Amino acid sequence: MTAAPSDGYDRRHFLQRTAALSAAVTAGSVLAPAAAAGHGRAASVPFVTVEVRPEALVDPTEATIAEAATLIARRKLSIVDLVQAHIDRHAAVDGVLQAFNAFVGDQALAAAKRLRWKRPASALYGIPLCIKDNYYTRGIPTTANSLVYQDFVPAYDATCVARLIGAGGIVLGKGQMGPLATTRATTPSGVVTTRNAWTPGNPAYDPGGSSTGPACSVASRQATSSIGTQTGGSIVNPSLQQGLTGLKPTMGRTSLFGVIPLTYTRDHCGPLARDALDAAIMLCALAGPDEHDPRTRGLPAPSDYVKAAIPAGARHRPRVRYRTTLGVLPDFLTGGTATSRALRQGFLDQIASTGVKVVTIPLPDDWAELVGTQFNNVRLPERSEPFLDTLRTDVRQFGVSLSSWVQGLFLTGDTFLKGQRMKYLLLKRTLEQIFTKCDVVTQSSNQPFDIIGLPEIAFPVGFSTEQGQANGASVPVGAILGAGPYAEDRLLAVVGAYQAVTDWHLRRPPDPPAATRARIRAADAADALQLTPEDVVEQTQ
Amino acid sequence: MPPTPPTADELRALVATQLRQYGIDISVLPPGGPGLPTSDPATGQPTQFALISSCVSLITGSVTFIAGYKVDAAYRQNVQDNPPVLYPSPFSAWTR
Repeated sequence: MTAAPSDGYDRRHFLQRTAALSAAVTAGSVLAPAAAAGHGRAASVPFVTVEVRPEALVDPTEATIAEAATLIARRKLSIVDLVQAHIDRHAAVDGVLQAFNAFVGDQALAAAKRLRWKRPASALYGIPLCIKDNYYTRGIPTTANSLVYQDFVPAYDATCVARLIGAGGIVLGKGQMGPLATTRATTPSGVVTTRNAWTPGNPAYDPGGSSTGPACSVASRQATSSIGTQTGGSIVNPSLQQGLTGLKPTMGRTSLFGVIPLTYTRDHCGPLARDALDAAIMLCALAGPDEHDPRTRGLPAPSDYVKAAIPAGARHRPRVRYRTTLGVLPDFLTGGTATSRALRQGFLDQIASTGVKVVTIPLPDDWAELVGTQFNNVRLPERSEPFLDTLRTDVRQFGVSLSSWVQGLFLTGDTFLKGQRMKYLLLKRTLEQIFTKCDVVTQSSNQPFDIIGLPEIAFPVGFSTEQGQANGASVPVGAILGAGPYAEDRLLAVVGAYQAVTDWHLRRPPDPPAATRARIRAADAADALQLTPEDVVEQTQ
Repeated sequence: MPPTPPTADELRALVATQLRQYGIDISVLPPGGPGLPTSDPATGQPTQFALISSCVSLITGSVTFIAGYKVDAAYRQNVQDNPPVLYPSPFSAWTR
């Protein structure tokens, strides 16, 4: 006689969990992930001690998370002074840069005063943060920069926000963004707001979108670090454009609970930080299962990201933490300007000096079709579906972004399904034809790995005066690397090693000149740069 | 013999009709038209003409391309090797 049948999956547990969540959401009183996991996760963000640069000793807004944590732990910097320095910085530069959609300096200062006598519990203790305006923040307006969410004040924090606060992070405000996370940051009518921190006098130079404000806030030293979201490049592109290290984790690595959706199956939460170590610290707080987001469950456990980002070897000869092969796809050294190609080649040369083996690999079969615009458009119905009621009520609420929300209604069911089938094929090709030959791979576009949810990291590899629309200004040039599912540690290890032998990530943009500030104050609205609906369709994430 | 492709006017009528069927009122947008501005600069909103054009473009572009796309001649057989998956990366972990 055999043992009793298993009766399959534990249905009772599943139903209890979903029923509890449903009831809480309906009542508008979700016990925030903070209660469920946020505060309890602080211990997973380790302490970090680093050598502090002289610039950070003079000006706290210069400090990385790791440097600020080191100074706080050694009682050489108070949390209150750190937060106040960023409030002062915001007052000095954000009239020009417009990185923030909402700024809660008084609230941040009050939080700093509450924390100042407590023993730091993590590297994030007292760290001032910018949160993209599509994350729910309890008691702080959350608009996604859209009329659709005008006057919306959430009753709870998104899981990612709760976890950062639980680890001691302090919310300075909400980062400006493209309306509903579509383009670079504009008003709902398409008027450009946030500027690239490297070109404050030139609004035409792309700051990257849609996490424009979070990137600008960190680049311009108004916040020590930030979080954004990525559906189609919205973490890696602003990071490339503004000289930051941005990490888009694998789908499911970070919870999307409490994030206003753009494309529910493709949205990702992740940090836009000053370097790989800071990105690792942020990811330690953000990563892990969340009972409110089933996509985060049943996955490999988060790794020790901080350890990964710190190179092995002696200080004068840093080595990548893990034995790693970097695959170079053919398009990595063909796009962009001569300078940007030379900088990418320089990256390959320097990363090899840290022990990374560099190999060239061909593009997988049918790559151009599977990652092209046509299959990328299968995301559009997910845009329309949650907002159908709003479309029926008043299409004008979508402003300049309206077109793609309506377009999504015209993708047929069979084409949507084929798109999902091709996503599986694309992942299979990627795993079989790329990741059997290397551990990390170059990316010339965010699109392929956004489609299938693989992790990516963007980081600076130099500066150029030849970038289009920068008018000769010296602006950052970056590179993107991707990895297999849940290999964020591998990406952090490679970039951490690279940043141990380069200083591009340490460079900061100059302050906006006084003439620029005066010009902004005198600017007539008619002179403002405005995106058209066609621009939005072309640029939408 | 394949059917005659729809005309541009027929496609525009299809879009306008389906929007009405959905209960979506685009008459609140500026009308626009061929050769006219495609949006209202004050609000950024597309004109009715431009909005319908963008939907027609999706139908004649992405929808047509995807509907006709085959990885190879054995596509119908291959569908059994490639299940539709909303979340490919988590799926790779969930099915280890």
